Amino acid sequence: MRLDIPFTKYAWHSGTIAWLLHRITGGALIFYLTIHVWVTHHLGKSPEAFDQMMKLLMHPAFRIGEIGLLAAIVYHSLNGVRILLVDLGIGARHQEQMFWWVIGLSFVLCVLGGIELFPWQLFDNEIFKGLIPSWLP
Amino acid sequence: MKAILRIKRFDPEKDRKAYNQDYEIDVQEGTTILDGLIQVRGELDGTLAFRRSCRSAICGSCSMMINRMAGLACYTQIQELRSKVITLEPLRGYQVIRDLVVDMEPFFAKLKAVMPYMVHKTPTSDREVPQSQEEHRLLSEAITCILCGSCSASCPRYWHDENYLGPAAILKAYRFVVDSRDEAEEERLAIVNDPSGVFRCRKIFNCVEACPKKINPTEAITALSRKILSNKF
Repeated sequence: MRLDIPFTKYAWHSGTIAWLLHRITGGALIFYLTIHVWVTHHLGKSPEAFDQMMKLLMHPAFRIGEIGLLAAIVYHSLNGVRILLVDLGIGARHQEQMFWWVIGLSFVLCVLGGIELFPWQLFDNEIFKGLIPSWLP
Repeated sequence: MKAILRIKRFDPEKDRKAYNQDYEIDVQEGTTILDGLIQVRGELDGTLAFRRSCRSAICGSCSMMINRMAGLACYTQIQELRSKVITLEPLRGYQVIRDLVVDMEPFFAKLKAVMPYMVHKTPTSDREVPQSQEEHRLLSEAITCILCGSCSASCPRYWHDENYLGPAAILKAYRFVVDSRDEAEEERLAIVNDPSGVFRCRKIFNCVEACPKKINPTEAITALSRKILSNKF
């Protein structure tokens, strides 16, 4: 069987990357939503189940995963605005500039949110003492 | 200066699979891909098949994949590409007949489907139907299309959905819909409102990058979808 992967036989442009990222983040968000429903379902079972689930969610791995979730949401919604502007007939001639704006804005928002979300307690030991600036959460 | 053309060859009478063949050609300033191909056929290999006619980017015959991007061979200068080895393949999304020649029939069938001709129902005097400059400006870009098929060959939707009308056919529909003299707007909008019409565009903008005439088919596609929606609501 031969795998015909689109885009390996065609040159990539900004629009290609924008579309692929939109698809990937869209799929990831659907995956997240199913997990989210599952988690919410378990939160409502009993106070013990709530505590247990919250303990699991505060695990550093989930906190780092949340930064990925933020990145997916931010990119998907900003690129959604870009596609909306194209559909409204305003942006069809500026899609490339808009794409770089989307990437730049997503990056800034992810860095700002990432500082807030990152599990800094990972570095809360002897090895990293004094290396982490005090203004970080 | 020398350059290498890596051409995808396929002869259905001899070959079971397509293969690449390299040809070294002389390049000067201004040498186009088409000049290179003519050099190959004239001096190196007479069996190479490709379409070409006008050599000046107006007939649209010599569109092919140049370095993995659809474009006109006669409109691409070899030195501009800045690569030593240039890959040439037949257009994507079409059936290969031989070497770089593809079957354009489905492309023209889709073009015919959108009624690519002026429909004027109200009887007029035997004088011409005038148009103001503002009215003409709406279609001045769309009428430069030379039907080379590069936009459709660059469209991922077109590769994977054989029913999709494609940017070229939709652009042609747009050209007549915005024409003040045409009176078949409703019929044409009904055709492009099909499940394989304007709403299948995924805004990947490959067609805009590929068009040798710098037309923006995506803008035409969104304009038609807005027209369809505003007629509905």
